[in-house]
Amino acid sequence: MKKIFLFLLFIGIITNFCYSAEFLIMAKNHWKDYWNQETINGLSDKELTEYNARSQKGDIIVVRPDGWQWGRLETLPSYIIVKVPNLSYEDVKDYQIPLMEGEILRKRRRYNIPASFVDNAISAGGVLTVTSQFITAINDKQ
Amino acid sequence: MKILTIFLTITLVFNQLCFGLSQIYKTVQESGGDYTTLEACLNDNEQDLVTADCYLDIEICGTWTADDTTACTLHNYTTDATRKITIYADSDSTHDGNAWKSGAYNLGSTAGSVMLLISDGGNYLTIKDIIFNCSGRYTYAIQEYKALTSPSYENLIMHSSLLASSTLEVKWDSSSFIKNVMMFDVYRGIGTPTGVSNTVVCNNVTILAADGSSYGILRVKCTNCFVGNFDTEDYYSLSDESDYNVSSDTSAGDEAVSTYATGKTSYSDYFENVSDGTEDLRLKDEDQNLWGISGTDLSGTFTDDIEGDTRNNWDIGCDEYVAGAPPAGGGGEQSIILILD
Repeated sequence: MKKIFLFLLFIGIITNFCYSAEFLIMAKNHWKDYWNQETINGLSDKELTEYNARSQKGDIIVVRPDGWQWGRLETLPSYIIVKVPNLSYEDVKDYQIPLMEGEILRKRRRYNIPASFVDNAISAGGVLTVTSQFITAINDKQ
Repeated sequence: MKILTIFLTITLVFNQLCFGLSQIYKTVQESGGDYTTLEACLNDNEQDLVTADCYLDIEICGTWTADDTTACTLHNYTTDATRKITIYADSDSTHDGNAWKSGAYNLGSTAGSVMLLISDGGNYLTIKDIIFNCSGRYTYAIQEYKALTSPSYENLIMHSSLLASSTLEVKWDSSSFIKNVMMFDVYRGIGTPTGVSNTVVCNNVTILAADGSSYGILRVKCTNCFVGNFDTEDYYSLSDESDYNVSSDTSAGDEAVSTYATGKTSYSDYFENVSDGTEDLRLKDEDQNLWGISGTDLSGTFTDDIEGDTRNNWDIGCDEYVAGAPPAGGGGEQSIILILD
C-alpha cells in the first residue's frame, strides 16, 4: 500500500505544459541475471568485475530533452520512458553516466530507480509523466 | 506459383536448421529507427551471440542534426570470429572523410571520460565510418578495458580529445587492427599505456596535434602513418616492425625502419585545411610529392581509404590522393555543362 502511495505521489496527471527532461530506463532483467551460482563462481576476477558492472532493471540509460522522439525499440519490453517537467536537461544529463573507479568500470550506470517503480510503470504502459519529486527517488550507487 | 512458394519456404527452413548463423540487425537513427542512441542499442542487445548463433549488425542511419551525447559501453556480450559485432554508418550518416559533413553522425560529448569503453564484447568487433567529437570532458574516444582478441577500428575521425591518455587507447596484448583513422586537435593519439606491442597494428593514420600535446602514436606497430605537431614526440617507442612513417620531428626515424621522412611541418601544404574548427586532413597531392616517400602496399590486408576510395598509389596517411577529384562529402563544387545542338 505504501509503495502504491509513493508511486501515485510521483505520478502527475499533467496535460498542459512542455516536458523538460525525459529518462530512458531499463525495464528488463539482464541476461546474466539468470546465471547460476556455479557459473558465477567460475569467473575470473576481470570477468566477475564485468558481471557485476552489468546494467540492471531500473538503471537510467539515457537522458534527453523534452519532446524527444524515441526509437521503435526504446520502449517496452526493454525500456520505460519517464517524462519529468520543470527540470533543466542540462541539470540532469549527468544521470546517464557510468560508475567508474579510476579506470575500472564498476557499474554501467551510476544512477537507478527502484525496481518497484519500474514494475508500476510497466503496468501503466511504459510511458509516465511524473512530478519533479522523481529526482528524490533516484539512487546513487556510489 | 504455389509450388514455388512452398519450395522456397522449405529451403528457408532447411537453411535455418542446417546453417543456423543468422543476422540481428538494428538501426540507430535520430528519428524513425530502432534506437536514437548507440548506447541504448548496445545495452538492449547484450547477449551471448555464440550460443544464439547470431551476428549483430548495428547500422547508424539517416542524417543527424545533433550529436549522440550518451557515453557507450560495449561489454557483457560473447562473440567469436563469425558471431561478431559490426557497427557502421550508412551513406547519409558517414563522414566521407570530412569531419564537418552536414548530417553526419557524431558520437559527441556531454559527460563521462570515455565515449566508447570496450570490454569482452569487443573481442570480435568492427567499428567504422563514424566521427568521435570529443570536445567536452572526454579524455578517450575509445578505450579498451582489457586485452581483446580481434577488434578493428576503421575509417574513423576523432578530434578534440582532452589531456590524460590516448584518444584511442588499446592494450599492449590486444590484437587490435587500426586503419584509415584521422585525428586532429588531439592531445594524445593512439597507443597503449604500458608495454610495446607487435600485435596492435596501426596502418594509414593521419594525426595532427593540438597545441600543448604530448605523444602521437606510442608503443604499437605503425605503417604508412603521418603524425605531426606533437610537443613531446610524434612517435614514441614504436614496435621495431614499424616503417614508412612521416613525422614533423625526428621520431619517425627513431626505430629500426628502412623508409621514413622527418621534419615535415608545412601542414597547410600537405592537407586541404588545417585551420582550427574547419580541419580537413585529406591530401593535396601524392605523398611522394609532399614528403619524398611513398607508403608501402598493404593490399593483402585492405584496399580502401577513409573516403572509400580504392588505394592504388598507397599514399601515406588516411587519405588516398585522387588527382582532379573534389573531396567527397561537399569539399568542392562541380559544374555540368550542357551543350545543346
